[in-house]
Amino acid sequence: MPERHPLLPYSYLVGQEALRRGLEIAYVMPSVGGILISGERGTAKSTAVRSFARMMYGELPVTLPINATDDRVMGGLRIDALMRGDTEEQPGLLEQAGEQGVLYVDEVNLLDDHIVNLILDVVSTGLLVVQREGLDKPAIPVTFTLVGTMNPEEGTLRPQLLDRFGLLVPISAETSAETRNEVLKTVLRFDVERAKERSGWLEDGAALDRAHRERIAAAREAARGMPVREELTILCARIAAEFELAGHRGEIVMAQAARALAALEGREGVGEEDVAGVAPYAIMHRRREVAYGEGIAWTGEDARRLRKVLSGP
Amino acid sequence: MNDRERIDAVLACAALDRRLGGILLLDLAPHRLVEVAGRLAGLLGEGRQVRVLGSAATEEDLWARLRPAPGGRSWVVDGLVAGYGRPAGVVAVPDLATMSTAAARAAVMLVGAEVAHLERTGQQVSWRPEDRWLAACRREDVGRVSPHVLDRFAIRVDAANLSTARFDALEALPLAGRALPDLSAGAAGRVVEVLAGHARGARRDLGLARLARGMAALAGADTVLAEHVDVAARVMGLLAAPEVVAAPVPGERVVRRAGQELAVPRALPAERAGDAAGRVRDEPERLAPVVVAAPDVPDAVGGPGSPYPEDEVGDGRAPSTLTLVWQRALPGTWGHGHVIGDRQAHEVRDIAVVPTLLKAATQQARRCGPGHVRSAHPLHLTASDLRSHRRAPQPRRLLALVLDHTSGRQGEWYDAIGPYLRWAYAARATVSVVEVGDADAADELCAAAFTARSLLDPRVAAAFERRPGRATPLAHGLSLVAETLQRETQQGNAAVTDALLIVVTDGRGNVPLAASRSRRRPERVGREGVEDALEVARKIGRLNRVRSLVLDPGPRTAAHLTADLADALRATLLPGAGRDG
Repeated sequence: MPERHPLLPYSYLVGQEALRRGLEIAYVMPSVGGILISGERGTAKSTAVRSFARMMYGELPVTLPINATDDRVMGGLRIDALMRGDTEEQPGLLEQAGEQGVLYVDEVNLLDDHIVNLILDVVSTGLLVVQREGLDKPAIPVTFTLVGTMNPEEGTLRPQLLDRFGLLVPISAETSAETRNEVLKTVLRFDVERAKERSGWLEDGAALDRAHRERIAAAREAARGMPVREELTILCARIAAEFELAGHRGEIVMAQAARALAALEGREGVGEEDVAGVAPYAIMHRRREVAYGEGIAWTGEDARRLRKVLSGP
Repeated sequence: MNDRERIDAVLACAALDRRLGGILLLDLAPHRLVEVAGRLAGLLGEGRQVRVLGSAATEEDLWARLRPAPGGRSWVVDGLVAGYGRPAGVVAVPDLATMSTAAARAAVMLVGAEVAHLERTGQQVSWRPEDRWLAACRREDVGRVSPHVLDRFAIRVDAANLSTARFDALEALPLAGRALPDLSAGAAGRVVEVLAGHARGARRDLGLARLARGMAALAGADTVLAEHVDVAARVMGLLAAPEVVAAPVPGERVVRRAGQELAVPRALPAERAGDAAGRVRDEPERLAPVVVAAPDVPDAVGGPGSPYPEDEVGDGRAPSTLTLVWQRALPGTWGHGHVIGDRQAHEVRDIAVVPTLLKAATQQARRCGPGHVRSAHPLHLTASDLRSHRRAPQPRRLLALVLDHTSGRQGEWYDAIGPYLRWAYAARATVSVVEVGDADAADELCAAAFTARSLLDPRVAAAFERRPGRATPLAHGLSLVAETLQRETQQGNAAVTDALLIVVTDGRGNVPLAASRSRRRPERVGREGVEDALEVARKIGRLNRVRSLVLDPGPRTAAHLTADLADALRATLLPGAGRDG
């Protein structure tokens, strides 16, 4: 039975290693609190998220498009039933995301402020309360991994929403001729293969994805019981202090993401290299300058400061 | 190829491949677009529709137009771009530069997307978008279009000379059954070569490669070669057109590059159609050699005649934003601005009648009971049904002044900046003033700022008459004005369309930014204050919708500091009245 929306197998994605690793970390350790992918146009952000979700959850992610209305976000009554005079409840996207485990918001910086507030309410309290259109449902506990993609050319997000994404991964277009060449060949081959009744290439991709999924699922199990040594939690706190992060979420996310990275790399314990590997993604959107509307970026100077902290007091 | 032939070839490729979903016809007169779109609809198949998106299209028009059916029992969903449950059609945008924000957002969601989602007003649908979007735009207006939208229209064709050619008279092209050929390694390499140095994400590469694939399919090839890429690049204006010497068969020409001949479809003639089983001919005929004048190196992308004029240095006009505007509750602005949508009403003003009635219609049977349909009475309406218009804000202008009182000669500022003050008055601009180095400041390490609704606010005049202090926290002053400009012009809810920044200073900042923010006096004064000011100025220089001017106070020592600041701000340097030449 052919898929309704066949997607490029995740294992066939070309380049964008940071993006892929970020998605994997957010899955392995849900307490990281999701991921925001910020990148210029044409960088395969949406493709990567959808392919990853299909690989891990077996279906497309629950997706909140920028044209969503509040009744579909929160849930309400079925309009076709209402027209018949019946009342049938219709779960909203937040509830559906709670069931699947992920909520994907494409072009999150183009969302209406009102919709952003609805998401913030639920993400910050972990409870979905539907009291609208005559409905008065008891609060539903809802947890999901928030995955957002955005093009920073259209402006950034409010600091409150930025902080709700555990990690921020900035990505840019692949510019090497070799990688662009590889992207072209892969995508155009996919165009052709997907039209076939049966494609060995896509079957191979699906097999690679299954193996990939098993590795990531195993990493998720391993990460759960992985301790973080005290000196590493202190290191996370020192990094947060060096970069004057607002609040404590930055260091907590850093430690959790380091556990996920260690598990994905097959290590038995968290090391300094894991903290160093995830620190930029936990830091850059929580710095105070972000509140002043300045750009979110990881500069050479930032890398130098991080190295200085890592090299010890 | 003439313009009509090139455009027709591109349309045929788009009909073959749904992924060629965004085509921009540069300099095509808007009134001709519908005819071209009709041709593409015809190529897609019988009965395919053209839907036209104008500048007034709202979210409701696009996604879910509710039409209560007779009897009130059912309703019809008929969004212009909601492409599920119907065959692929053509969405025509007569002028991309004036497309409504709602339509631009829809384009970003749909053009070239693998999956689209609709989650509006009780509907939950996902589908694979197959509509082809065809847009026109004048080259000089391309800079006003959001780069995000332009990226979706990677296929570009110059249509400036398409004045009288008729598309509705063209013969049908038998496209059904044509399989997409494989891309050769040489073709992939040629795409990267042609667009070398001009890649802006993958869509341009993919667009050119897919257009080349379409050309190869039309020519009956089973593999896309580098030559097909060259043909596509010439159609788009990425390569100069070759000199054509012979036309071996009707409707087909032969060009040669690197010692090879290649048949180029002009507009696929009926006699070259696939056979009854849908198979296409193996190879195009290869005939007489020809002289080819096409260079192997790509023409400069971004230069005159480039298909990507947005890569050229802009004209200073900011591209439009895709963010929904937030309606500011400024006094006296209710009911102004054109309608761009509706929302839950919070006041009984500016009620959107039709959306309100439609909202109420969904509840009638429940409120009235089973006899509702047969009974003749008005709708049952409650407060929760009320919807009000969401309106575009009135364009606002902002004058931002940074006045460094320590730079002297305050009385002479008036003459130099007088014309800009008159502009601010005439435009009823909001005025934001940042004062640096005021002798009576609450904290001499910090600049102070206020915003006035207009130039007539007495605080503005008073700001020109301060006594100079000892410290010059120029960096802090610039950071304050940067925040204001960012907030007013860059964020999604920005309503300011034109901001003018005037900085009056000698550039000699002597308070580092950290000292201003911590309010701790620096141990020594070095260049840090100047460097910090330049750093903040560079950030301001990168803002859109902001024009900057720096007023030079005249001959003095370290006069280059003002010029440096102007450079950092990308500002025009105005000679001050104190300058005697």
